[in-house]
Amino acid sequence: MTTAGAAASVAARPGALVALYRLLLRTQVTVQRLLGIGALGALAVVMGIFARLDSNSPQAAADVVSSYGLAVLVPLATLWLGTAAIGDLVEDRLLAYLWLKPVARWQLPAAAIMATFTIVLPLTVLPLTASTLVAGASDVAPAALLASALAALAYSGLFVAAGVWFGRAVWVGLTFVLVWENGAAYSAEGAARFTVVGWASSVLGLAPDVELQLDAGRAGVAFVVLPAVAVGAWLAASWRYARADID
Amino acid sequence: MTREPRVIADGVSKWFGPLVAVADVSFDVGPGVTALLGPNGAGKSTMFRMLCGLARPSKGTVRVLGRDPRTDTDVARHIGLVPQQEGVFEPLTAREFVALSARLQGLADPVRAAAAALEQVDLDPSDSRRLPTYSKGMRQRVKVAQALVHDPGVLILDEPLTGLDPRQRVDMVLLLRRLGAEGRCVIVSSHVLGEVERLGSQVLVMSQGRLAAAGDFRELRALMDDRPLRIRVRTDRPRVLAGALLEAGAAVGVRLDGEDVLEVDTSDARALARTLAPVSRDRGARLFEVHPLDADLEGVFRYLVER
Amino acid sequence: MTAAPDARLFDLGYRSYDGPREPPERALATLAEFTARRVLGLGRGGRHKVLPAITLAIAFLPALASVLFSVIAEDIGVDELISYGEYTFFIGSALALFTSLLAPEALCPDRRSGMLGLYLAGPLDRTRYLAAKGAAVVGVMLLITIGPLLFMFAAFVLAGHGPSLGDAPLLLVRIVASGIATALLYAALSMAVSSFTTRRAAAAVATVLLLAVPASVVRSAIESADAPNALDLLSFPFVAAELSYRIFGEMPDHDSPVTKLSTPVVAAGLAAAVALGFLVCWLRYRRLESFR
Repeated sequence: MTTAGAAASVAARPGALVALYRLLLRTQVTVQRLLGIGALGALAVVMGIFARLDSNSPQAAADVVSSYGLAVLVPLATLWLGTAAIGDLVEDRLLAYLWLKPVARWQLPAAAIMATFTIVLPLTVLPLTASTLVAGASDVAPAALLASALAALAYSGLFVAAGVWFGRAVWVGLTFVLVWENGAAYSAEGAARFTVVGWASSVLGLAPDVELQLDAGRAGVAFVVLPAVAVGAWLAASWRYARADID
Repeated sequence: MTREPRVIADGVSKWFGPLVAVADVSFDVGPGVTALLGPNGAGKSTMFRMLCGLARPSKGTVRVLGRDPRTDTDVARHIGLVPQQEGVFEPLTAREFVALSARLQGLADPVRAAAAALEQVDLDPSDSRRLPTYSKGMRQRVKVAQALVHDPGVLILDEPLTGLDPRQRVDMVLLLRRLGAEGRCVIVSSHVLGEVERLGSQVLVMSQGRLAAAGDFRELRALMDDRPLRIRVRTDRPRVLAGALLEAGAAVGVRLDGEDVLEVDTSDARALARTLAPVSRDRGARLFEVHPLDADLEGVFRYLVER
Repeated sequence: MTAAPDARLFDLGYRSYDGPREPPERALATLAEFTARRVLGLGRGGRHKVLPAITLAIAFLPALASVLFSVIAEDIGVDELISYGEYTFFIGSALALFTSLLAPEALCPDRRSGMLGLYLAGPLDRTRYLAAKGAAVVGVMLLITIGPLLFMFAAFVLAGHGPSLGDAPLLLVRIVASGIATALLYAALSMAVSSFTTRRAAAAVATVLLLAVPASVVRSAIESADAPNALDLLSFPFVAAELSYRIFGEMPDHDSPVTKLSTPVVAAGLAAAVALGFLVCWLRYRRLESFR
């Protein structure tokens, strides 16, 4: 088989990507994680009920999405899952079974990001959207859906990449979320432009008559920046994975 | 038939900071079973990882079927690895795990291939129990099945006999011998030297990161002319025989062990063989047993790693 | 008749120890010290020290900045810098980060690796084991709940901005009291969480969630649904910060439900959370079976 033919046979096998995606879905979804993150998502709906009782329900609903959803629920849930996607395989020394296969190296990080996003979406994004509907702020719902989904996508990329790059990815991720996303973003004007929560908040600003706690810039730009963060993180993860020594 | 090299290491070294795990190792391994031996920390697992492309050599090159396993992902079609670690994918059954391997290898019918591979290692493909419930030995056989499912030409097995009971070990040894006889290049590491001896006679011995010896271990033993061969002789007149052998110059040392056992050190096994029977006859000593003590693999291994 | 042998054989084999033995509390102290060193990365490679060092640096940074500003900018009064009372509020993220690192590192690996069984096979029972671990976690937490404040205290005294000789003892007592209360709360909560899983990463995330989520939920309930302010006692980081303010006799410049509660209620809420956290941890360990 020629090198070109070999390269073609390695690249053009979507079946491998699907197989990896399904594997990672199964390894990431544990009862503990489902119940834990599910409960956190349910709390968003409960907070939506509280927001309904507020005199300014749309604003209260938007505050639930921004201060709970975008600041706590989405980043921490994605952190928990995303760092474990490949990180658990490294810790349990199972990566050798996936490495020694005629599969292009970019496919494992891609599958990990897709699997993380697949799990996070129904457990966090949907409940957050539901919380706005429960609050009677249906005008806020589309913006909440888009903001939290784009944030989940960006975080999925970042934390999967962290799992590949760092041995103790969770603490790197926690430092990022607590100090940068929740600290610097709110403290330093202009820093929001360099945070996922800032851009996600800008998307939330598409909802009418809502005051934002954070605003990185135009919502249209956020639709480019956040997916670009995910793609950049995927490229970084693929680059690192291709060069890693596998235990 | 000319030996066709399948796995070639050329001046391979690997270091982790100041720690040199493998130092300047070169060999070529062709079809058949070759045992990679060495004490703990000799660099065997590191060497295996480099042969599979899991780790990049700090220096030197590795070629499998003429290709670099590190950069040429397609060569993985021809390599099957049984790693040392015990971890398994917890949510999967044995069939799912082996079918995953088959799917990632691009096989047309991964489920059927997985069933065949599991049967080859004497496991039930229809077993619906998850892998964590399997015993150590069963998990080991599942690992072998996933390495065989895509019919690779090169098999690398790191401690494949670990966790197997005696009967399973015999079966595994027979399986590996058959795979070697089929023309595959099978490289095995093990501490169970008795079983490794039954796999075949080709060995690579590593010690402290270096290659200490390569080739047929019996020929290696013959090359160890700076160390006398030790023969155990059971006779009814050990003292008389001991004196006679020394006098005849066929032994460089003798040791009496019990009432009827004599251990003879000789630097010329052929000379001893020519001398022993006539001397025994002349001195009226009856011979019940003549048995080399360190001509086996364990003796060779011990000598090489203790140097 | 043969002569009596003039040879003796000396037994150089195993000998049991017959000397005095120290009480089990010594084992407790040893384990506490070992655990504290482990979580700080002492006696381990450099990479194990990175995270504790970064977290300590984040916690000390505001204190360092305050001291530098007070020295460099003479027209800035000490009162305009970060006060002792608000320091706990200021370093909330660092506290969360530090505690998410400490308790999981102290508790989870022993269960995952089977070391717990070895510990329990000795003079340590489960209660003593947990006491040792708790002492280590609280002790290390004190590094950031008391350390920066003591640093500020010492620096201000040296720079001449500090309290008078008469006021210094009381200020020191307040620093220690505030630090201990905060350390106990964070330690109790994170140990309770860590008792539920053997994976450090899961325990770390769950600890931060326990600190962040109740606070979000109860504040939403209070602000939107007029729930009673007492619910804010579940906003654990804010309770610790508020108690610090009260200990130093200060008032926060932000308005939140917990500020409307009386000092005894705030203190009781913190104490209840501490007790509940340690109790949950102890009950979990009582039920654990250690196979290895």
